[in-house]
Amino acid sequence: MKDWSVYELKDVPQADYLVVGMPDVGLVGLIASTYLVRTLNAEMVAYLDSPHLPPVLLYHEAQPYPVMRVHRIPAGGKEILLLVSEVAIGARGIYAFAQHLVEWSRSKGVGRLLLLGGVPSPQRMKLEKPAVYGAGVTRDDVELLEKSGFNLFREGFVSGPYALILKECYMRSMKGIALLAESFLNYPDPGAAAAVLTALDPLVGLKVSVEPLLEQEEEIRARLRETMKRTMEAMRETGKAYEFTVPAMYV
Amino acid sequence: MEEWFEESFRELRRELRRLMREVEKFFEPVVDAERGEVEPLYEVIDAGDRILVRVDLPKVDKESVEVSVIGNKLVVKASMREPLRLCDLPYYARCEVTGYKLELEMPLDIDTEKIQATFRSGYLEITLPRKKAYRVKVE
Repeated sequence: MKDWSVYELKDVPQADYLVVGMPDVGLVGLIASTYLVRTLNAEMVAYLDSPHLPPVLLYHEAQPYPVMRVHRIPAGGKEILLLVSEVAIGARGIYAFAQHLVEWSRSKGVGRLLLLGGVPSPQRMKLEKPAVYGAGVTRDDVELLEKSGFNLFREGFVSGPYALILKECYMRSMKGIALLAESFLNYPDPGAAAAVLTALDPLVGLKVSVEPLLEQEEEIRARLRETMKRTMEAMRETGKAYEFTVPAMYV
Repeated sequence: MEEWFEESFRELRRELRRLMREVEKFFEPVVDAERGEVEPLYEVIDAGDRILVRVDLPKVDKESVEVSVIGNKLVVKASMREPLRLCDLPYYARCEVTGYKLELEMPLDIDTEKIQATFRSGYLEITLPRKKAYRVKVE
């Protein structure tokens, strides 16, 4: 079996954006991306498989689903693909994953990758509205972030699968932006997910209300307790501690 | 040099204890089926003169939170405002999750008389001050 493979279930069109939501700090990316799937009724068009994924199959409404799926979001004239991963990938699999995903995105003509996630903040408990940082790859990405009024991710490390995806974009001069909301490190954070979705809106024009997400906040936190524990185990292996580290360039 | 070595050794011991706890936890049921209790997410922060314990308690009102010291254990219990219904998942089909329970062993130098707890938006923070060192007069 190859390291990673993409299986297309239907004709996957050339896409303007690939939005990515994976389990990471505060499960921000996972909560945000699954919310988009439910709210927009996004159809599954492909899935990824790999021996680096845990040996699990998801059942939802009595139907089997692979744990890493690509959905298509209808968005008024634009083609948006959404990658949702229910599980964190272990350290051994993330390099090949990032490479494969970005190559596949390129083959689909994706104009820009948009990664949804969190950046841990020790003050998160005191924040009503977490800020969202934008980490861009190309000059075009940075200009877009500045023009859209984002806090730029100016200094520090990004780690884990998103770091590798951004690196692959950098190596190929592809556009890529990580939207990272201030979040809890190790508690599910629907508030941060709502912030990231609000930030995504002007970039892709999805117009999704986050009110229902905020209303379900406590229920989501309670239900995703075990998912958070599994994700924390994976984060330990994938360099998460670097996000608290001051880089030498900043000294 | 010695200090660095000692700190590294302490860090190694902490990591080993954490790994052993995780191995032990692997064999424990996720839900106490009799009581409907689960262990909440939590973190323990060593802040030098105190230890902070933060606990995530969604679906809980302040009135139902109990923080107790029993022997050398810190015990947190809380009841959910309404049960977490996960009956479509076979693992949870025959039990409802109705509350949380957390038991943590405290270090010996905690001043248990001065423990404080605050609860806000479903997050509990417990401050465990350390006893101050003092010299004993030698007669």
